[in-house]
Amino acid sequence: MSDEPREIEAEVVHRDEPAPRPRRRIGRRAAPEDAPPLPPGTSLEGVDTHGDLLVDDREPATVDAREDRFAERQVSALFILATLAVIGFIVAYLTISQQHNYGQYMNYALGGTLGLALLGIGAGMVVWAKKLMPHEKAIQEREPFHSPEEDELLTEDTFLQGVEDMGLGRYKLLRRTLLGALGVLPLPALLLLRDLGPLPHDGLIKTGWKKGLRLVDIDTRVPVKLGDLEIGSIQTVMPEGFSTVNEFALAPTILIRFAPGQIKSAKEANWGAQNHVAYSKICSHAGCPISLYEQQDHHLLCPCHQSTFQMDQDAKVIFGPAARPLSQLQISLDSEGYFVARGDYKQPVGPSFWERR
Amino acid sequence: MSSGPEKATRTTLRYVDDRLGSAGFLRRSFNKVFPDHWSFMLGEIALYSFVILLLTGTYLTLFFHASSREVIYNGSYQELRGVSMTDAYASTLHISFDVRGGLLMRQIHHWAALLFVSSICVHLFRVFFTGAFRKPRTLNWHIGVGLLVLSILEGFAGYSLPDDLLSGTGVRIAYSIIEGVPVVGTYIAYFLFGGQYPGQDIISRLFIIHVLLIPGILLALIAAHMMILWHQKHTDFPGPGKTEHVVVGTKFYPTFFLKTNGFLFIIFGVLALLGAFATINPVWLYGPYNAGQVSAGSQPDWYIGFLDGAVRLTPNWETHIFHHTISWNLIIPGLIIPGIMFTLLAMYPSIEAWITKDRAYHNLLQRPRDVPVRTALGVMSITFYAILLAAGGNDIFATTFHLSIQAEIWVLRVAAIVLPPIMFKITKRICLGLQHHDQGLLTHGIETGIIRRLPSGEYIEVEEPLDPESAAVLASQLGVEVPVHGHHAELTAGPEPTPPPVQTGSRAGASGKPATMLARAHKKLENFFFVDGHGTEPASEDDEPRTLSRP
Repeated sequence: MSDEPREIEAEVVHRDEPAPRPRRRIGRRAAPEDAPPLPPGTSLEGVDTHGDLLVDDREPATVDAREDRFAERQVSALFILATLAVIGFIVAYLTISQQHNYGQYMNYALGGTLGLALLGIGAGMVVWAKKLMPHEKAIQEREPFHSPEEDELLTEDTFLQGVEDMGLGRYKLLRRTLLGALGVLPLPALLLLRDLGPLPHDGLIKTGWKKGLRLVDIDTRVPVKLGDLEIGSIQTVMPEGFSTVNEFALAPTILIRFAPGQIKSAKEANWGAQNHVAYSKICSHAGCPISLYEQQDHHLLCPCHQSTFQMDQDAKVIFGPAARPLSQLQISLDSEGYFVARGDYKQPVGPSFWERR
Repeated sequence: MSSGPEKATRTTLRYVDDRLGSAGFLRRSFNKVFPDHWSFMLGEIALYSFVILLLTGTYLTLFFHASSREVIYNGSYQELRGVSMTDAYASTLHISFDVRGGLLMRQIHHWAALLFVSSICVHLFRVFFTGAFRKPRTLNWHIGVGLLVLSILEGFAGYSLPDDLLSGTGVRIAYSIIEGVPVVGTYIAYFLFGGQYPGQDIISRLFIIHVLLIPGILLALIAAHMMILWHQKHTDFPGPGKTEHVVVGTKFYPTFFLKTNGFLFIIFGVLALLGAFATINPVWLYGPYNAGQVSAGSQPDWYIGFLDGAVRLTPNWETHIFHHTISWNLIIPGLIIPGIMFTLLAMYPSIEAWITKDRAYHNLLQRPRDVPVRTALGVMSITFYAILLAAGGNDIFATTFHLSIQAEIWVLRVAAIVLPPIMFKITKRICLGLQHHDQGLLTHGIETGIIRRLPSGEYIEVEEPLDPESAAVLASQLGVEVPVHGHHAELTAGPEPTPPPVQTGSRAGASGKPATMLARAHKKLENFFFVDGHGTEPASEDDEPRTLSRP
């Protein structure tokens, strides 16, 4: 074996000359001394040896016939295991009920047998390659990464000649009109995208709340009246008559009941009714529905990015990435004692956007 | 010997060759030599995960309904019967509970997606830290970075499709980030979602992005990645008999072919077992998406985690100018940070080549310790990324270890700025120390611990020289000549160890100082790379840029 690369004379093949049939030398049991130091490609005159091997040293994987037989059986055992696993898969598919334990048993059985089958084949192949195939060390010359300089020049010249023939340098008017025509061509494509969606006008600000609409529970749709909430508790409400939450995605609102005198901001208390206040549930940061309320210190925490709002002080931000307080919904009580909105939110709800003042 | 199968093979190959002239190409392909190293299998894992994703994904499309139409669920999952949900979510439940093997396919698909992105990342680390991205493999590096970005987007689009409460929250945050883009944000968001969030269109649009658009681009880029690899041949670590001009290993056919196919089956098998026994993304537990609800502790798939973490760490900055709002708290973590990260990643080979003036071809890899500055930059970047990722799971850490979320955020904010430079320093020092150790091994040999007294009364420790093979490997890794043992000679430098020549001429002023700002920046960066002398790849001479492939 030699570590040094050997030079090979490479010649161009002429396709019309009949290429000699390559000598067959694949034999998994070739002894090292029998193996030619160079592949037969070198002895084939007229065949393109470009990319052929320089050195191809091989040793038989096993010398002992018993070891050889044992390895063959090992690989075969893995392939048999794979076959059995496939049979297991079929049996499991046909016999196990999908309803059993939410389909978990079926999933275990199908996945387990499929995994075994695949692993059996895969492991069999790897053991086969390692134990039964000749161990080889092949050396190959790396081809140059770039073409000979004259070749590069010729290609560049060919391209430039094409440019010259087209006259892109000479015909200025042609060039400019072509650029102009190609420049406006994307406009139809852009227009075709126009109907992907409406333009963002007041949809950014309107939430679906209107003057006089009752506050109804988001799940039961039951209107909320004075006395439904315990002191210190919260409830998620929607405008009465909403179709689905997702169609009124900016409307979810949190109704909080404070103990008398707990609200520190006069504006907050004025916008509320009977120690109840209503704030948008949609976080002013990234739009997650805020859901964690700490009763003791009146913190409302967004579970997504942990923005925290001080609910007895105009929902001001006390921690986290939110930049603005939550918007407050003005509410009052109607004649029957139900909470109603006094109008839509005064401030846009949810995350900030460019058009927001 | 002209047995049946042999004759059939010859007939087939002749048939093809008569029409395509493929004999030479095929033979060269069979004989293609692949070097052997475990780290070269990382890319294979990514490739085979992709194959498995295509197989399982195609199966899932046969049953999935990419529709936001409201339906009342009436399938076998008792807990959600009678609940109103989108058809997308209902069909996901149908796949999980009523299609036999559907849950298995869903879980294999999800696990394969995680493995796909993970193996791409680890493969990227291997390529980065061994310098495999250097010329001529720069194009493949760019394609690789493109594949990484696309695979992250593909994963996000994919796990958003079931329209469950967890993924819907992720889509909500994505919408908010898009909406936060100055000037055009709301327009893009409205066009993408077909109006105000959530709208009726996003699921079907994400579906076509997930099953056609991105996979098509991925397929084309993977094909290009593989063809370039095939054409350029694989890199290899230095060793005896290995030079820049040859590739040493096993032939593609039959050994490598058999092993790599076995590996495909093994990866598929492992994913099948994961799909069977490790529940992933149990969307039926989260419930259908609802804009008024959120599940606490909601975590995206890991590869989105760094973005989520960046969103959590960015302070609450918002600017109001001329009746307009710029939401820095969304666009810094959502667009600017990942934009800078992936741009730097894509540009790194060019930046390094520019600084080191290394325009030579490289087929032999470097060990991380042999290029301390690059290794340190890599570790620094990984540290920054890891901090963002940790921030993405800060609520989990807080509840598990009973920490204060506020304190945790502040620690991570400081760490994101302070820790990366510290890690840079430490890594560089470790690399230089390891180099020093290697040089000691080469010049002095292995310390035996045996102390001898010389007749003169002097005590010496007996040193055993390295065996010639190890010494040769070590010397080629360090880029030095093998010293003659016993002489304790200074290591003679290998080929071209000299620092890059100082630019003269138009870019240098009369005083020898670089004149332009760019030249000054270049000088600084050059010092940064070469300041410890024995460090980075020695630069090749400018006038002889492409020597390596011309023996």
